[in-house]
Amino acid sequence: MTTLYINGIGILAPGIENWPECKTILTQQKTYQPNTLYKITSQIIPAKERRRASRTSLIAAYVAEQAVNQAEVLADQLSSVFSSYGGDLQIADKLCTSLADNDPFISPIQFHNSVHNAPAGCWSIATQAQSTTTSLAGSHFSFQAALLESVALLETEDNDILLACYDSKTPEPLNSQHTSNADCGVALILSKHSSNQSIIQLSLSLTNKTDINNKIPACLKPLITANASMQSLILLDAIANKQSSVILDYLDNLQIKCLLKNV
Amino acid sequence: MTSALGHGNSKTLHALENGISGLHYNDLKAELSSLPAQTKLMPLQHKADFADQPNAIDLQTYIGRVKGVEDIVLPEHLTRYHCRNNQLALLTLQQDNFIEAVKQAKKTYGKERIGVFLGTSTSGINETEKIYRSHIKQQQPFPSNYYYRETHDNFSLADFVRRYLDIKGPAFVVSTACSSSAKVFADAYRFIHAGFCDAAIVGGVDSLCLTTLYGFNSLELVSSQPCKPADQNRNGISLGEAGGFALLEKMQASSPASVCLAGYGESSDAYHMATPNPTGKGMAKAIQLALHRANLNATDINYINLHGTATKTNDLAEDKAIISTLGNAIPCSSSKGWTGHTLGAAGITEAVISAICLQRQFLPKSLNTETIDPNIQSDILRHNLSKKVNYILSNSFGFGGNNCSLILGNLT
Repeated sequence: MTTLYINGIGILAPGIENWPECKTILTQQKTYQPNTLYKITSQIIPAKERRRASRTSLIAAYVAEQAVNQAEVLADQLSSVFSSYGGDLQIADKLCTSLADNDPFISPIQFHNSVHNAPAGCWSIATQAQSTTTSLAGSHFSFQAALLESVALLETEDNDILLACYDSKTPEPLNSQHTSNADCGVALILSKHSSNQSIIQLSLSLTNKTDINNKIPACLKPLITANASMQSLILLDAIANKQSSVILDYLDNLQIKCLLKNV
Repeated sequence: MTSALGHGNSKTLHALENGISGLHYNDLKAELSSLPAQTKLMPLQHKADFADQPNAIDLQTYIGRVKGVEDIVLPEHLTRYHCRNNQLALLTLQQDNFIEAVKQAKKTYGKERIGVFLGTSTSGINETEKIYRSHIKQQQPFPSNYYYRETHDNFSLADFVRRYLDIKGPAFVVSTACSSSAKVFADAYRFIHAGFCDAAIVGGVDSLCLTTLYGFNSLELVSSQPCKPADQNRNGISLGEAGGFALLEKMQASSPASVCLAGYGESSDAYHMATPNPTGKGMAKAIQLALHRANLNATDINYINLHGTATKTNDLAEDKAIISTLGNAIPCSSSKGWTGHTLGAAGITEAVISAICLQRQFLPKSLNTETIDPNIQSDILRHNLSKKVNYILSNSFGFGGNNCSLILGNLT
């Protein structure tokens, strides 16, 4: 069983702008109101890059920046795991629309932004992070895949890890395919070492099917199915409410068992 | 491994040994009309995938297309996964006794203890391209037999392979453009090391689609001739498609394996979305990390399988990275003149070619390279070579500045 520390959390969802706000909702000190999104303003991405970046890249950078600031770590010293269900379906929609024309025209910027690892590329250019970075797709379980990958990276490299999981809202007509119906993202800074900023100690293992009884507030349950990154709310809820363990569903019978210990 | 060189490793080796390229003139348009005058290479046997896109495939270029993909039928319980990418995945799985090897691994470790980590860049986007033309453009909704999650979606590939092979361990798709199916080797190591699984199926599949053909064309990176890696007159890539798989497990004396993963290195250029850092610094970092993890020196490497896309910028930057880390004495060649650039499948295609080189003690030349760019200092192989080979470095570099170098070793 692997033990690690969460030293920073970033989150964005309709009605949730950051981790302190999320925590007050999860502990039911504040009523959840799924407002439309706040303006996504990443400071870390230079203005020139920001104009060229896709919405998906900006969501990823926005939550990553929150987590980095909270953990008080240097972004260029981190390895990173980016993960998303659909990648950039806003761009896929535009590309497929153009390609249906008899004389297709594709914008070169749109094409290179269409790759699944565009948010990771955008982040690394902005922060000058030159270490290992990967970009995963795991359907509804993209957050869980990223969590496992981050732990496996911590076991084999010295750097702290930035985990960022995100999806932008899928546009019409692809939204009929139930990929993501809200702009959401979550980011964690994971480390083998505790720091003054440590939020929780986490021990993690793969397990087989057991009954799940998460106590997440009912008002947040639609969010969990609205966007793959919001599967993280089950873990965040356990952290906010000081539970000692929580189980995340993964593929088929697989689950991720997380033991939590306050620091 | 299956690419334009043929179905399976023995056909691949045969093509490499006999200098037969998998590239031919873009015949995608020829599915509807007669073949262009300049090519008589491909019979009109291909159906379906591009036939309903008559004008959208008129690019003057060469492609590395796998024969017979369209004829592959997915098993009945997986028909929702029907798309060119998963057809190519299945065609590839059926080669080289791979399914039998997986069966053995399931017996040894149990299906819950085998991971599936695969790379792709565009998965089955070809399905969505077709539906946009046939339905969305005509203001019709998606037909009821269109399944995004099982086709276009990136995870579809791992999902399909996992279901087809009945594997129940952890799984995901790595999608870091052209380094995708190299990075999955690092994932197998990490996941086995972390105890999340005991063995892993790695690899990747990428299939021809209009998104990449027209996308790379928009970046002016597609050559009108068969690509010429390291050549002074190189002017871009030839796109290809391929699939490949490898079964990785911990080193054991009893293992029948003849090739091992000796090291890997991953890095990020942090320079530009679509252009490598011209200094080759990010690429050099990946090479150095791979050497370090393998506990090897430059002199231990006997051959380098280059990323070698035949773009002006990649080949120069990669050369700088090699000269600064490994010197100019190691024979190098790119596989892109043979298979085309297979994008998300390039890592596994070239890892398997490297494994074949280790098994056969044989090095393929840089096909189509006529006059080596005077600015390139590496020892580019002009002829096939038989040579004692213990360690091979294979490079894969992708958009977003995503770099991965693998070192494969000979166990025999």
